[in-house]
Amino acid sequence: MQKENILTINGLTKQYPGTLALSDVSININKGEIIGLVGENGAGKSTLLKLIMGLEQPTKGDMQIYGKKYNPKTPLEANKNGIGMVFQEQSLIQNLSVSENIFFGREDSYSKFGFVNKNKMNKDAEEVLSQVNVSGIKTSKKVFNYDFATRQMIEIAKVFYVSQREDEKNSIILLDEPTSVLSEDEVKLLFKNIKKFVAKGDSVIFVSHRLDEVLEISDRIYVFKDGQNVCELNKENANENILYEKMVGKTASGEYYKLNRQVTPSKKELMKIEKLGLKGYFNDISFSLHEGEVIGICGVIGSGKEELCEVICGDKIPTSGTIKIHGEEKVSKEPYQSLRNGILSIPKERREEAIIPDNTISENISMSNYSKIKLNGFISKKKEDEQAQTFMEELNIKAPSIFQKVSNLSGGNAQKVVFARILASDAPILLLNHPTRGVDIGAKEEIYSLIRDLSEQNKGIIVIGDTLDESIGLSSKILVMKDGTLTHEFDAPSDNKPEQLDIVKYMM
Amino acid sequence: MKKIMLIAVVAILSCGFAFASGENEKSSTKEPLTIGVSMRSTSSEYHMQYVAGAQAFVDTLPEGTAVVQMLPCESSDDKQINDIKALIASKGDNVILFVDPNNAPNITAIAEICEDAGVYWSSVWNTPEGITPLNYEYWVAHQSCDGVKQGYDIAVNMFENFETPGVGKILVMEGMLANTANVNRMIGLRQALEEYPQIEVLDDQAADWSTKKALAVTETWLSKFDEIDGIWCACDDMALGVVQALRAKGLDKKVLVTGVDGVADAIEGVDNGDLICTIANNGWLQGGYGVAYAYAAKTGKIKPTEMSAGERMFYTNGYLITKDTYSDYKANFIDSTPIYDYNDLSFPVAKPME
Amino acid sequence: MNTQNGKSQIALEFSQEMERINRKTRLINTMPLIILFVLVFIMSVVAEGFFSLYNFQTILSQLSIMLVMSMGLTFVILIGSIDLSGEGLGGFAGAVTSLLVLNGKNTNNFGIWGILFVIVAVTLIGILSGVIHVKGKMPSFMVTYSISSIMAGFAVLSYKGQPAMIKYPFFTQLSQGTFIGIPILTWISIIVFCIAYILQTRTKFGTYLFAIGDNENIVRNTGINIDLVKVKVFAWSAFCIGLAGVMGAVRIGRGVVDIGVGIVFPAITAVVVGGTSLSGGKGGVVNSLIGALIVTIINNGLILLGVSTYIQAAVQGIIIIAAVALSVEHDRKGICK
Repeated sequence: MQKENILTINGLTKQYPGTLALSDVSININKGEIIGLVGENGAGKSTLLKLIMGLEQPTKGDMQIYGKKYNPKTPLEANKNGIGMVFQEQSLIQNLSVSENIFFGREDSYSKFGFVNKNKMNKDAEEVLSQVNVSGIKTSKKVFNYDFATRQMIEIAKVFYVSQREDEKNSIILLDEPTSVLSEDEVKLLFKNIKKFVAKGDSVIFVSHRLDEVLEISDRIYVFKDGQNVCELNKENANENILYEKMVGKTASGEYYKLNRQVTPSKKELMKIEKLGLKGYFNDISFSLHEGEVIGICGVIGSGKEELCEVICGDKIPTSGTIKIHGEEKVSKEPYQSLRNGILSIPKERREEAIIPDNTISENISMSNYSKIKLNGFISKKKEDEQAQTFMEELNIKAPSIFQKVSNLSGGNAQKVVFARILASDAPILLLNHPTRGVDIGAKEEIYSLIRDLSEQNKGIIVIGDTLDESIGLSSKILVMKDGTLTHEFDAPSDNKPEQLDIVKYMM
Repeated sequence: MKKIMLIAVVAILSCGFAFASGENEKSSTKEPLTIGVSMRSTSSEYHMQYVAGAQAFVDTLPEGTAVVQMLPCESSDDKQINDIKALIASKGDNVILFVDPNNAPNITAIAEICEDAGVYWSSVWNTPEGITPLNYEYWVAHQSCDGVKQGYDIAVNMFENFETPGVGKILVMEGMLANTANVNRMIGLRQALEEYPQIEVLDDQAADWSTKKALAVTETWLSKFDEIDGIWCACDDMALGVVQALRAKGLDKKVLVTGVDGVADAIEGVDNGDLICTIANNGWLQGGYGVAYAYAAKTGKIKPTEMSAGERMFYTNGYLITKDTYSDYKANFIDSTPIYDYNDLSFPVAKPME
Repeated sequence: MNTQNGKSQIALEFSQEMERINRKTRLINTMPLIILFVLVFIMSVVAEGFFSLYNFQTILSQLSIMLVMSMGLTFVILIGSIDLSGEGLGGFAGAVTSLLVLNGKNTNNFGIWGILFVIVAVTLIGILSGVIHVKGKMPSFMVTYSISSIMAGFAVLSYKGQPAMIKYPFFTQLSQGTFIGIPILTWISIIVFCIAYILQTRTKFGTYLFAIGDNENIVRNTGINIDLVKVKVFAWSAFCIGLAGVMGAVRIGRGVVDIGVGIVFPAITAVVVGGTSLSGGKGGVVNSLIGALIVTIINNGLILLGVSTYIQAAVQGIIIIAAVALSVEHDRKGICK
């Protein structure tokens, strides 16, 4: 059966400084179809959605909708062309009513002499909600009164409403990880609704980490890997194993990750985590970190791994379980307390969380360890600069001088400054959250060898890698998380690394 | 190029100095004496009274002897000092000054300038702790108003005007706590209260010299107290706010209100009965005699170094305006300028300072 | 299968967590009202003369200017900005009004036209500060604070140090008149409150206020002219300031710049104590009405209690901090600057 084509994507490419996020992707979306997009974190799914919504502009390639050129500059333009998106983070205004949210920016059709007819608006909002089979919502109530799942349905209803085309042709709705925080029943309801939309001829692009759900709902599935669309499968031809195989990335050589320098961890325990839990995010996590050990934590978005790191570094307070350091129970309510307890973390968003861009290299390095460079209670500029000079040479930081502002450095060099700070501090436990994000290949290798240096110094390291391959390559032990629980533990000695495919099976 | 510029500037400046100093020598023989009156602003009626007083003094001298020059500082310490310096620079020692310091600490700098230039001068109102004319040869005298007496006088005037004189319930509206004027006026009130044991103080609040705050405080008072005979206010601005609050409840003229300072609106309020009394600071007296002291020293009539502390530092009396004295005040101070015998330098001295 | 259970477990806990936060939010939202009732109750018991018709009239009349001010500020704070121009601008409005109506200083007698002129002029100044803020990309507190200084200067210049006593009979009627027992000035402030309430709930302008304060990106992506909305907000705020300045002149009967002094911070306090978030997007004019009542009752009650002036300001500060602590959400993650 030949279906009518709605959206055609031709060779779409998006180049960010340092990374190629999307490379030459071509996709077709037909009338009344549900398209599943799967791939690892960073495979390019989100980038593709952003380009379709006009939130970002492609570097190359073009799109057509109903045979007409489609090049949206804003989400508004996308809406007018019949394309709407339900974002992972909800975009409803909490302190406005349901109806005000649904008709946001479109109040004029309800206005008379500048006054909005709220009654009519509330009634029409009910109508819009009933289109997506949601009932029992009082549309005059403020959004914050409703639970997360209901809010999501409200948002879907809103997106449907705003992406209606003037010529009444069918729309396309993009759903980015809509199920990650929904319960089973809620997911069922959502799927029932999605099927109803497409029965009317609308199309849906469904992005999820949950392969079982993707397989259940999609008519066709596109698999993404490293910014490329690696294969297209019809529902009948797809199963979880095929998807796993297609998703996992290429394996880099052992030399790249300095496997010859991987340290066999000692028996001496640095940190013991017992039955740690954060209500609503993860539960019952237990593991130990030893001297010289590198533990990689793997899991998809929403698996709870990010929150686990936040708890360990003191950014969030756990609701259950304990963290013991050197056998002693420690409670950290703020990151500075966990630093005092010996845990130092490198945050994911370097620019926002780890460096002070307008300070010099020297000042950035000394930030977590003023006690070392103190002289009579004041910072000794001389000691601070000496320290910076040493690290600059040791880590090969490429900058004209230690007085250079960090904002002027490349991503890799800025990250090395952060590492210098770690080296300067005496914290025995390091938490590296995406240590190579936005760093070019050469600098990546230098960072890998730095991590090897650190474990040779008997530090215990927890890594969340940028890719699965990186996590495997760096770690001596791998923990896999899914839905807030630890699903499997892999030993990863340098001569017997686990396969990506095996790990992925426990992640998805 | 820069050098040439520099030389040109130096040349112009030195010509200017030469010219100015040349003129100085001439002026000391021919030109009339300049009387500088340094005060806050030309837009304030009270400060302009200084000038009128100084002019009244000049009018008693032979024609052409002296001229009055205003030096309004517009509330700037720097401008006050710079204006004085400029005047001395252009007239040399052919100047005498009467100064109302913008802020008390300014007076020290002015004293040094005048001492160096040999310019006789006198001051009014505030000096910093420990800074007095006694340490200087050219700072002839310092005068101020006796806040204690003001506070006392208005209190007594109010108490005596109660239905049963000396018996009643009053509320006290203070100015800004810890401010010298407020502290002194409060001491005066307490002295009066000791003499009138049948006066009961219902409450005491500070309204920071502000009309608006006084209004709000009075409104609340009126909900709390049913019987109020009088409201003692530490200044006219607050008294006007109190009257406004009373008027809103129809209690104006029934509850007696005092003020101090002699603000024009308050004086009018005394006339129409809104206020029972206020005390006008007599700018004419202060300005006229302030200048007269400096002139007497300049002409050698008095020798400051030989005068006693009490003769050089004293309080002057304000004018207590009540319904009875209003017509007198209007005739002598509003419709005409008061004239004093400036040869009698002891006339303004109400009380020596301690 | 185990993972499916894990999934439901986490999802269940997540929704419980959200529900808990929602409950807390609802409690916090009603907090200002609770504080107000508690305060009225305590004052009625301990402060002699508090619970009387006469004192309620007094509170209502002391409330009027702060309420008008806070109606303007509520909108500004809802969009996450701040307007500090009230001191100078309000003083300017009061001083110029006194010079334009019948007064004891000059021969002007423009009556009601003088008042209208002042309010229109002040509103235009508000538009100007709004435009400088959005087009010049300058922080609102800096722009409005500067405008305040400039206008305070103009205000003093306008009457050259000697304020004018207002003789306009209409003002006397306004300041003393009551309608069914409530002062006319309070009625004016109630009308302003009603206008603000209608603007907030019945117009798209009101809807956008919350949205801009919550998330400007969503609003921008919806294709709304945010700058225009912001300029309108500053115009409204200035209108309220102008009106408050005129009301101040009516109340004290003299055109001093003093009218504006100290009217901004109590009004901001009222807005915040009422539960409007300084970061924007939450709260509203009803909250500010409650907040204004709380602040007024604290001032009024402390004087009635005869609390010494020396410690009054301190007690006020403590009560306000306590009220804010109870009525503002403290998200651990949120950075307070």
